[in-house]
Amino acid sequence: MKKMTYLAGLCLLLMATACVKVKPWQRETLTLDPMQLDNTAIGIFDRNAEVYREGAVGGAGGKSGGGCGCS
Amino acid sequence: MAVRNLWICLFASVVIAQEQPRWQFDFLAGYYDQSGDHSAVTGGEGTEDLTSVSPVIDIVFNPESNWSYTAHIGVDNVSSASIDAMDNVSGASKVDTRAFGTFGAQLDRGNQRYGGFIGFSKEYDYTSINGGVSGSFDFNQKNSTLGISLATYADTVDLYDIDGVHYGQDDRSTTDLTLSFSQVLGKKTVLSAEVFISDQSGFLSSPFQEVILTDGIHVAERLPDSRSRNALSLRLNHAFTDRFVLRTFYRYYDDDFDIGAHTFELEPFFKLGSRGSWISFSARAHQQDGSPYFVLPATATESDAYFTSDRDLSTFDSTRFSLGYHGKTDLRWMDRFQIRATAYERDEGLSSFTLSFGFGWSQ
Repeated sequence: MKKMTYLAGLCLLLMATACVKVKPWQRETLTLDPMQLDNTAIGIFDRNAEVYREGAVGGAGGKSGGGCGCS
Repeated sequence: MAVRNLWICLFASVVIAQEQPRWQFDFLAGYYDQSGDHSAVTGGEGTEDLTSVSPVIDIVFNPESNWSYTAHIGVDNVSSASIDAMDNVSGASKVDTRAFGTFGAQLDRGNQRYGGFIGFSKEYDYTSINGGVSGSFDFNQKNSTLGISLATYADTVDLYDIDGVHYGQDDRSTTDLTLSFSQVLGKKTVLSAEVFISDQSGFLSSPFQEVILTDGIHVAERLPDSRSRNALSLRLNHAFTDRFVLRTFYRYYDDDFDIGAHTFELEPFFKLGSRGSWISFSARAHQQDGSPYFVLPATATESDAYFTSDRDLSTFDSTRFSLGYHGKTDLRWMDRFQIRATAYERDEGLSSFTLSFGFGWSQ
C-alpha cells in the first residue's frame, strides 16, 4: 500500500509540473554545477558511510547490496 | 523575432562548441575515521573505532558515437577494533580490504538514454556480483525527465561465528528499483522526486555480530531472511543569484524491519571568482525510529525470534556538517579539483570524520 502511495505521489507531481516550459536559451543558470540534480562525485564517501551507519537507504544514491568493508 | 533567432543561433553554437572530451579521468580518495562505544561485534558493548582509506578511479570514454563507457574501480582499506577482535579472520594484518569495480555503457539517443552496468566487490567474507539497466526519457521540450533503473546484487556471505570460526557460506540477493522524475520549474529552479523500492532475501544477519542475553551468554544476532525497503525523496535546487545556489533534500524511508526515518539536508553553494569555483556548506539531519529487533545488552532471551545489538538499526538522531570546495585549474593533469571535510554524529555516541578529495582531467 505504501509503495502505491509513493507512486501516486510521483504521478501527481508529474501532472502538477509538466506544464512548465523553459526554453533552451533561458537555461544558463540551470547549467551551473550546483544546480545539477546528481550528487557530487566526491560525495560518494559520505553516502557510503550513511548507508552503512543508518538503517535507511535509497533516494539519495548509494546502494543496498554489494558489501561494504565495514565489519 | 530576429533577436530571438539570434539567441537560438548563439546557444546552438555554444552547444556545438562544447564537444564531449574523448577521455575523462578522475581520481578520488576518502579517509574515514569513526569512534563509538557500542560495537555489535562485542554485543553492543565495546569500541567501534574504525578507520578506512578508499582510493577510487573513475574513467569515462566517449568514442565518436552515441555510446559512452564508464569504469569505477576502487579499494576500501579498513582497520577496526572489531577486525582485531576476529583474529582468526584478519590474522596479523588487522586490515580488511574490499576491492570493487563497476563497468557501464550508455547509449544517448537525444531525448532517450539507455544504460547498463556490471560490477563486483570482494572482501574476505563477502563476494558480490551485480548488474543493472537504466533508461531516461526527456519530454516537454526537455523540461521533464522520467527515469527508471533496476539493479540486482547476487551476494555470497562467508559465515564466521562469534568466535571467528568459518562454518560455511550462504546467499543474499537484493533487487533495487528506482523511479525518478525531474522537472525544470523555472529559469532558476529544478525539482526531482525519486521512489526507491528494494527487496532483499537470503542470509541478512551478520553472523559475527553478538547479542548478550539476559543470562549473560553471547549468541549471534538473528534477523529475518527477507527485507523490503522503500524510500521517497524530493530534491529542490534554486539559484537565488548566479553566485548563490541552495540545494535542498528530503527523504522519507520505511521498511518491514519497522524502521522509519526522515532525512533533511540543506546545501548552500557560493561561487568564488569567475572561473567556476564553488565553496559549499552542508547540514544534514536524520531522525530514525528503530527496529524492534534492536535490543540493549542483557535484555533479550534465547526464545526471542529475532534480535540484534547493531545500533545502525536502533532509534537515534544524527547530524552531519560538511565544508567543501571544487574548482578548476590550468594544470594539464588536474583541470578540476575538489575537497570536502565532514563531521558526523549520532546522539547515542557514535561520531566520525571524513576527509575526501579528488582531481581529474579530460583529453
